[in-house]
Amino acid sequence: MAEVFELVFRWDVLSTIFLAACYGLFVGSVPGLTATMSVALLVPITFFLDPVPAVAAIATASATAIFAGDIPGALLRIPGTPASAAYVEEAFALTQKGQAERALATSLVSSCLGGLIGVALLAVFARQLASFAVKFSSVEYFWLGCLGLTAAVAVSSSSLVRGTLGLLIGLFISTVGIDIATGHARFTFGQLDLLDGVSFIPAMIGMFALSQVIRTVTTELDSVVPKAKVGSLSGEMVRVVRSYWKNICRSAVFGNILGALPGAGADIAAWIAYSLSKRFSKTPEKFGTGHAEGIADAGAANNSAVCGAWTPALVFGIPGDTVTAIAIGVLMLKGITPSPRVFTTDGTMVYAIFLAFALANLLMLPLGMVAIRVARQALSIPKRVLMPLILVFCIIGAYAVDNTLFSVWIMLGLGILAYFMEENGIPIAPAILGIVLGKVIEKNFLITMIKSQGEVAGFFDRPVAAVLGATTLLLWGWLVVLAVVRAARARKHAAAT
Amino acid sequence: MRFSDFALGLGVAVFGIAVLLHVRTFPEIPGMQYGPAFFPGLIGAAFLICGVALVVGSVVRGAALTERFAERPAWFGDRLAVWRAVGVVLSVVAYALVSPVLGFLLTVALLTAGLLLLMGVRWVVVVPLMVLLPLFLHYGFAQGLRVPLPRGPLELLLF
Repeated sequence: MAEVFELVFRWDVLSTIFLAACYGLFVGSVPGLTATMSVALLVPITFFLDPVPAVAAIATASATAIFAGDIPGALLRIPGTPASAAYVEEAFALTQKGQAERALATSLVSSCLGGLIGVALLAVFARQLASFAVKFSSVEYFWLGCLGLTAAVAVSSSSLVRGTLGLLIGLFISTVGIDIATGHARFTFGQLDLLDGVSFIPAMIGMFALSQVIRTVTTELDSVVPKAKVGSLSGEMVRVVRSYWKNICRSAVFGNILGALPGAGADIAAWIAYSLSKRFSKTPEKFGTGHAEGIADAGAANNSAVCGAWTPALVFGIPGDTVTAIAIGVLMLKGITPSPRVFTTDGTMVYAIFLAFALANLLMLPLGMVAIRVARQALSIPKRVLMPLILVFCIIGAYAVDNTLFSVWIMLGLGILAYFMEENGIPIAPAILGIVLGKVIEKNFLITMIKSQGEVAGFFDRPVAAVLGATTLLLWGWLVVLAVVRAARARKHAAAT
Repeated sequence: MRFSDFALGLGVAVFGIAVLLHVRTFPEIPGMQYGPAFFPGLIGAAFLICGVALVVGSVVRGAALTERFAERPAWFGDRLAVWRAVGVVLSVVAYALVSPVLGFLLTVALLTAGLLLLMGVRWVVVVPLMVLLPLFLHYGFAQGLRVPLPRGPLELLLF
């Protein structure tokens, strides 16, 4: 344990956490810039840091960005990140009643506590899961990958076909480059730069940041300055914890589990926690009129989900959300290979990451209070100035990862692709999971096939694999049935009208 | 650009077929059913199925031919917005093409100025940003992070 403290309580790590927290708060509080985008733009810089500060920076930026998304939500009715969208009406209703401080204090304290509970759960769950998963072989990994992808499609808000399309685009991108079995160059069309595959970080920057820049400069360039006054925060925070500590604990546990499901990130956790909060509330009629209870639940759930997403990422290398999809790349680059053995091979490092995560959540309390005070200034930076600067950062970020201009082209290509995908209702999150998991699934599929000498039965002959396989296949069946039923209902509805 | 289900489905299906045809050129492993073509082939087939599902869905709904193939986004009517979008894309292209010749500082200064002016920002803001941003980034990335940024006349003069 002493080693863990030694790894974290160093000036370079602490200052990195501090700076990443400031950065996360800023990016999260600017509407339109998401937590994932903040992380994607941060990665090129983490390349040059030591492993612990690098991963700590990512964890910190994502946690603080998710909270900061609540600030413009409460003040302007514009969620700063999609994770705040669930309760933006509620928070703004409070602001309109002249209680902006109550809305923001609830968000801040529930985010902080939710995050801390989330880290504790992450440490316990990940360890347990890892000791169980040590016995996993290629078959289990194959099914886990498939299950992850299926979950990503299942929870995406669009239709089954569009969710699948997003996934297929990601999987297709993952097949570009040298094939692992034979060394054949696939879909490279003579481009030497593509032999290693599409580099992940430029792809992320393009898909999350560039596409957002294009969207902003075309449709939402004019921003508004908040007029709401914010009163004392600390007193409110104590009151909120006193009245809603049960809600915060319950939703933190719940959000953590949801966050661990691949594809279901902080935004989905917030939506579900908010609706559950209303269902279990003693005063459901107050919801929607400016009631802090739902904000406490959803605020705790989304920050806890951010931690939960690290569970499958560390143990299986399967990201729980888009942020951890990026984090896995950074972990590998820093020599930490996510696997059930990660607690034995890199135990100190992993606990150092957990500790950094906890510190980030603690630090969020004072920094968050400052951020709420200065939000007026941050929100009043016109997007006309911000967007060109972000674009320049995108270009340099993509270039700096492997110092080739080819990465800049990749960023541009995938940025435009992501813009068209979103325009056409094709979700990006499954595509990201597809890019990360495509190679994992193919590799484990081939290994299993070679082991079982081409027998499909090899995919079901181990008990855990059989359960995972059956679950995946059932989920596929259920998704198809659901889509058919929905289509039939829509047709009936159309015929009736 | 928002495409109708019918048009999107057709495009996706054609892409799926193209992938399926292309993977036939991949080599096979003797004695193995599953070579480099297997996984991309599966993806190609899935693209085809999704495409067909979209087309069939729109035919069943009776929207196949009544819906417009592609809906222009509303901002196409705003000439300035179009220019801004084009400017964003072109500046990435310009960086990729021009930075090896002009060097990092000059390219970023020109891009920053161009983009800011295109967004309608006043010169008072543009000038300090176009001078300070490239220097700040150069300091951070080239000196701090040791990224070999492209060198041009200004770098030779200053560093």
